[in-house]
This record gives sequence, C-alpha cells and structure tokens, in this order.
Amino acid sequence: MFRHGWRQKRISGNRRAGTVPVNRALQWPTCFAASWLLLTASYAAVLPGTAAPDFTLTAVDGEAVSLSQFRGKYVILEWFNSECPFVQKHYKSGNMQNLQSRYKRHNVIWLSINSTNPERSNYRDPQRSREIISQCRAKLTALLLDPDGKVGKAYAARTTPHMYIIDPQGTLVYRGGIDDKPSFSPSDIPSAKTYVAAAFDELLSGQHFSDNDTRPYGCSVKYRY
Amino acid sequence: MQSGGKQLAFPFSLLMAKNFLIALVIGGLVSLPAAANPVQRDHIEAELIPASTGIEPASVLTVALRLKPDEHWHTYWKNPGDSGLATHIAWELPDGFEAGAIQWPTPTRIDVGPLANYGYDGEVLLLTDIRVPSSLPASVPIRASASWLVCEEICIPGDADFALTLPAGPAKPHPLWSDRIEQARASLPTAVEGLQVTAQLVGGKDWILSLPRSAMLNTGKLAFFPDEEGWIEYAAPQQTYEDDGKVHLRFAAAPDAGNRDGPLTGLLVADTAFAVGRNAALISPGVTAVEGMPVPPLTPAGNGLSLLIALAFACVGGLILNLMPCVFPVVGIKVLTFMENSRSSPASLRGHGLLFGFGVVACFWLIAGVLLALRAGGASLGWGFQLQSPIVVSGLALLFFLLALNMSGVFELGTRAQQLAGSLRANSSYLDAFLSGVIATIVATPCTAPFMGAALGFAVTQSAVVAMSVFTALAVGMAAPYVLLSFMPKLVARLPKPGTWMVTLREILAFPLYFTTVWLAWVLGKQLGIDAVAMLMVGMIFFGAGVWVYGRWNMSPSPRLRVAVRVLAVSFVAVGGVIAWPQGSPQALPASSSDTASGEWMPWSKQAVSSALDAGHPVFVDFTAAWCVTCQFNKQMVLEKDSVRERFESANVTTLIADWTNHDPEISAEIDGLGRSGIPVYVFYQADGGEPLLLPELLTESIVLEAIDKVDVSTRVAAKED
Repeated sequence: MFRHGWRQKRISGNRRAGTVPVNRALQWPTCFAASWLLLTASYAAVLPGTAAPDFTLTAVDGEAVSLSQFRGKYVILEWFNSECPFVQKHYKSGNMQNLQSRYKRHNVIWLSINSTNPERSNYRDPQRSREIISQCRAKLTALLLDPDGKVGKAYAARTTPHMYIIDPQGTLVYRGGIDDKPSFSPSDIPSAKTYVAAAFDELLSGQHFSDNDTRPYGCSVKYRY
Repeated sequence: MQSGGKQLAFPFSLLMAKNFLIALVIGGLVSLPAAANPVQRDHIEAELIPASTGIEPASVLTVALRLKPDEHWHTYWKNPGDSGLATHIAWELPDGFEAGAIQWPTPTRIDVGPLANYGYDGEVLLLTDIRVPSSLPASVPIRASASWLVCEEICIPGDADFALTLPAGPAKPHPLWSDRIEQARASLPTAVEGLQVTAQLVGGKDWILSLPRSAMLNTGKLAFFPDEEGWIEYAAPQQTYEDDGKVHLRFAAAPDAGNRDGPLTGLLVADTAFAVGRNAALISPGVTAVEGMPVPPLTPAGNGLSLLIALAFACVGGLILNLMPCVFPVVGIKVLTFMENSRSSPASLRGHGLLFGFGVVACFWLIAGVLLALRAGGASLGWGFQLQSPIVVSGLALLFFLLALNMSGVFELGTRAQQLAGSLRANSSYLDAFLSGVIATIVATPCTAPFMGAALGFAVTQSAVVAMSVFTALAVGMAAPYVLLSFMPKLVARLPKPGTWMVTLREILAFPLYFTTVWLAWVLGKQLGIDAVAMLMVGMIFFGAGVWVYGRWNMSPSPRLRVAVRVLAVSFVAVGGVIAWPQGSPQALPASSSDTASGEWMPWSKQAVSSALDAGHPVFVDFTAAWCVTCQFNKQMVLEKDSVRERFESANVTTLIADWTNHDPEISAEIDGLGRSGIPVYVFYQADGGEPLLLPELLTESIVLEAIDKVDVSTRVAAKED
C-alpha cells in the first residue's frame, strides 16, 4: 500500500527474498481456476444509462461475488491497485474510507476491483490483498480480483481509481473520476469536487445529475501487456 | 499545485520530508548562482533552465523545465490519454511578471497493453514564456514548483521546487541552454498556414480528418492527438489512407463524441512532413456529422504494405496468374498466336507481344476503373464481382463456346486463305493479339492468385493513382512472359515450325474451352437455376447453327449467297442471344452449402461465428463462390479430404461457408474487414478471442492441418484457464 514508505519497502523485500507460504501457493491455482465462472462481459464500453454488464469474480477472501446478487441496491465499483500513487492519495488521506463508510450507512454496496495482471509487478495475491485492505482500514463490501482483466475491459476501466455507480435496477448511472482535480497530491482533495459524492447526494435525494460521465485520472490499469 | 502545502499534508512520510529538505537546500543554493539545480528524483532528473543569462525590461524571457527520465520511462503531454497525468508547473514570480502556459512539444503515443498514453519517452524541454515588465529590480528571483508523473510499468509521482535568479541586464544567450531551448522552440507544433483540414464524424462512431494531398510533402502516416477528453478512443488504431487527391486519417470516436460542441481541437502529426516543412500542426476543424457514408475498411495491422512491396507482389501475382486453372484455356490461344507469328519479322513479333501486353493492361485498367468508380459510388463490391452478374456469366459462356467452335474448325473469321497468308493477315492478327490479352484478363480475374489478394486489398484502400499502379503491375506481371517471348526471337525460333500439326493442336485446345463453357454454365446454374442453364444451352445451339451456316457457305463464290448466309448467321446468333439472355435476378440459394458434400458446413453469418465462439468452438470460414475455380480446387483437393474433415471434427471446429456466388454486401464487408478484396479467403477465428488466422489462398493439406493444430492448442489453453 505504501510504496514510498519504509514499511512497504521492507515488506516487499521480504516477499521477494522469503519463501512462499504453502497456503499462499495454493491460492494461485485457486485464483486462476476457481474464479471467473461466468462473464457476460461484452467489450463495448458501457455508457451511463445502459445496463451494467454482470460479472462474477472471486473476492480476496475466496468468496465468489456477482454483481447481480446486489440487484435492488446501489453498487459502487472502484478500480483499485494498492501500488498506484493515485489510489494511495485517496487512501492515505482517508478520503476513500470516508466515502466508503458514508455510503455504507445508506446500504450502498462498495466493490473494489483490482484488474492487475499477475504478470505485472503491481499484482498482489489474495492474501497480500487482504493485508492491504485491513492495513488501510478500507470499508469495502469486497475486494475482487480480475487478473485476466475481463471485467475491467468490459467496463472500459482505464485508470486506478476509476469509479462506476450502478443503480438498484442494474443501470450504470455514473462512470468517471473520483474527483475533478487530477493530481497525486492529497492537499487537492479538500478543494476538489468529489464526483461520486456529488452524484450520490443527488441520486439519494432523487435529483437529476449531469456529471455522469467524467474523465478518470490515475495510473493505467495494469492489464496484461 | 502548491508544493509547500502538499508537503505539510504528508507529515509522516519520511521520503516527502526528504524531498522537502532537498527543495529547501536547492532553493537556498540556486538563489545565488543560476544553474545549479538539476534535481534527482525517482527515475528522473529535473531542471529549470533559462534561455538567457540576464533579463531585459519589457521583454520575454523563456524558461524551460527539463525532464530527463531514465531509459524507457516517460512523462506526459497536456492530455495524457487513457491514464497518467500532465506535468504541471506553478510559478511564483515578482510583481508584474506573467508566465504563459507550457508550450508542449509534439508527444508520442505510448501503448500500455489495451490502453494508450500520450507523452514523452525520454528527455523533454517544456518551454514557458515569461512576460517581463518594464521596470526591474537588480536581480529577479524566478521560482517554480513542478510536479510530474513518471512512468514505465509503474508510475511514480515526483515534484521539485526550483529557483533561478537572473540579473537585470543584457539578455545574452545562455551558453549552456540557449541553443537547446531554441531548438526545442523550433520544433514546437504550430498552426500551419493554409492547411485545410476537415473533420467528419461518421455515424457517431468514426472520425475522418481529411486534407489535400498537396498539403503533404510525402505519403506517410498521420496521427491525431486531441487536446481534450471525450473526443476519441485513445487506444484505437489510427489509419491513414488516400483517395482522389486527399489524405484521410480515420480513427474511432469516443462513444459520446457526437454530443460534444465545438471544433475537434488537437495536434495533427505527420511522420514525414506537411508541405510547409513542419510535421506537427495545431488544428481545430469544425465538425460535420455524417450518416451512413461508406467508410473504407480499417485494414488490420500488418497490412501496411509499402507501395513498392505491393507493386512487387502484384507483379509476381500477375506472373502466377498464368498458371491458374482458369487462365489455362487462354494460354492455348496465346501459344498458338506465337507459333503462327514466329515466321513474321522480329518487329512484327514484338508488336504482337506488346499488343498482347497492352490488351492485358488495358483490361486491368478498365476493370480497376470500374471498380474505383463503383467504390466511389459507395457500392460494396470486391474483386471477382464481375462474375456475380448472370449477364456477364452468360455472355462469357457464349463467347467461350464460340471460341471453342472456332478452334474446332467449325468456322473461320476471315478466310482460311487470309489466315495462311502472313502479309494480309497482319491487321486482324494485331487485333487478335490485343483481344487475346483482354480475354486472358477477364478469365483470370476471378482466380485471385496468392499475393494478389494482399496487393488488391492494399489497392482498394488507396488513392486512385496507387490503385491503378498496382493493377498495372499485376497486368505487367501477367503479360511479361509473352512480351519477353516476342522480344527474344531466339526463344521463338526454338518453337516448333508451323505445319498441319498446328491445326490438330488448335482443335485439341478447343476442348479446354468447352470445359470452361461448362464451368460458366454451372456458375449460371448456381445463380439462376437449371432453367437458365437450359435456356443458355438452347442459345448456344442457335449460336452454333449461326456460325456453322457462316462457316459452311461463307466461302461460296456467289456474292448473293454470301450476303444471305451472313444475314442468316447473324439472325441465328441474335435469336440465340435473346434466348440465352438471363432472366430474373440471382436467387438466394442454399445451393452452395448443400454442394459441399458434408453436412457439417453451415452457411456463414456474423451471428453464426459469434455464437460458435461463445460456445468455445473455433470457427473456420470458407469465403467461396461457384465461379471461383481456385476455391473449388481447394475445396475438392483439401477441405473435403477425409483427413482434414476428421481433424476439423476432432478439434470441434465449426465450419462455415460464406457463399459469394451472388452479390452479398455482408460478405463483401467481411472480406474487406479481413484486408482482402477477393476470394478465396480462408480464416480461422480462435475461441480464445485471439487474432483471426488467415490462410493462404492456395491451400494444401498440411497448411490446414497445422492451422487446426494451432487453434486447437489455444482453445485448450483457454479452456484450462477458465
């Protein structure tokens, strides 16, 4: 999570030098074989106002999670990569966690999706991902891994973070950036317009909102080369 | 971005604290000398450099941020593309000074997997002009906080505070940096005067930028970089093509581009140069939305044949055409012509050779001209289409029947005496030479030989001039052996002496022509059914009767009888023509799929392909037509073989037939999409969604078996991963 901090350097050093624990070794094939049961993903970009493609991915705790099981509730999709400085901006500042807990109270489902391919250096396996989530005190419904990038490509997710809101009927109502200040500096957060919050405030109060398709900013999603 | 504020927000980050210290130290150092500031950050060196050593009042001072990332690392353009972040500079200047915007150099496109970024791979100088007021202090502090994102596989944000202090005084060029900065300025993209660019949004899906060919110095590739988000798909391929004196650049529009207001503003970059010598132009064309305009197909990557290679391919393809089964009957005619002429003078021989060559070339030009005209008219047509018209098929059948009868000796054009007297015959035989060139071409075109497909695919997407050159090369290749023969009398001299054996040979060569007639009748049967074939044959009998009457009595000494015979012959032929004239339009026949003996071949449709792929089956498509002899040959000799059929079955390949016997816009579009313009086309779609696999146009058993092995393996791998 904290790529530039001491702790991260130490941990990643251990990871490279140390032996891989047995349970973690078992999770690799599990991750490959048992997940991605069903994908109705089409590769056309999903636009606000159209149906959000369903998917089933395996969460870092091993559970299979489908978008369709949350029909009737608002769902937020957050493209996530713990090693990306832009993701770190919103987690280290607590911005993302604040949003997560705020909408949890409104019964909103928050799914973070990591589409990093295992060949890319930013890939973190399920166990490491669980540690990261607990370290940064994220208030997620689930962190899902999408190592072959199918779901990411189906949603045309291109950055981390890249945010999507799906309404209780399964329609995509927002896609785009987390806010309107493209920078990696947490000091820009207070003055930025957080699109997701603005969208939700208007959605929950039954208003119409216009900024439903904005530019995301961040690191590229680390798909397979 | 205010650097100081940001650092306070990171009170726990040691690294940031370190940055802060470095910034303080550097700030302190450079406030005295002006050039001590290259700073090192993770994977990048950054420096603020001035163009001059002093500042004059009421002038413009240029300062540049020099960013030099490690090898393979890059920083970003003002529009970073799918991800990334533009470099940002916040200036802190004394009162009265005013910094302009960063003057961005031309970026390059950096592809990262399925995404694309716009940026600078390697060192870049970001120039900023600072307006200097008329009154100055003795020394001027120029401070800037720069922040950037530097990426390779991963991204690392960086920032630095810089300070330069320049004395008020003469603005002498900076010894170190002035040249570099001027160089950078000279290559900045500018608005290019007189560059007329139009932007069309076709069907809300594709952008086509067009500019006159004369605005380009050389043919080359164009690329467009939009200033703003929401106009284009950054990672989609951009294709340059030419037609009618214009150069076009086509690329995918962002899904919502049609709802945007204002011009399409950005940077048009030519890999060669525009006529004015620059290779990057700021453009801002107004947008015209177009519906349903025919959009030339995007040829898949790898089809970017350069013109010379395409011409060479076309030439070789033309040569090979001579060996194609459908040209073979005409070879007889040609050989015979040469034999007959071998007694003539070398000059006359050369004349014949050249005229034959010209006949071939003229015919290719005519067909190409028609093709281009039809393309311009928006018709979706491909090579070989001339045999999709039943009228052309019937006409050719009758023509070949007549030629065969002629070769069988039923009748002679002109008198036999004339034929044998070389001197008198010269005129008609020059015409013969020309016409046999024309006929050879008409018959050859449906067989797209190997190489020819790619060359034609190239030609069809190119300007008229390029297309014509390619067609000419094909024609030259095809005519070359005969022209060569006519120029090498020695070779001709080695040909056997003419004699009565020639009559025998001629009569023997009639038989391939009868076969060709049968084939054409069969094609017509595929198009219009058995009744049309019957009518054609009745027409043939009338033709036969006509020419028989002519041949039998034309030599009569009575002039009146000769006239009567000619009138009778012409009326027979006319009646035959009326009877054989094909009625009705081609039917949508399931015929072709049923004639492919096995039941496993299903008719092609886009849905059939995608549903089979969804079910995890690889798909093999045979783009074929009854009139395509090469296709029939491949089918009989390879695709229908038991070994091949069993392998198709065991690998669970769904086999589809796209029957192009009659005009079918959907199939034409699909063939275009595969980068070909004629058939046969054989393509494998892999179940794992990999690139479609195109097979050569002349199949062998091993080619097909190997291809099946290939897709079978990738299917199994994909299945394992699922």
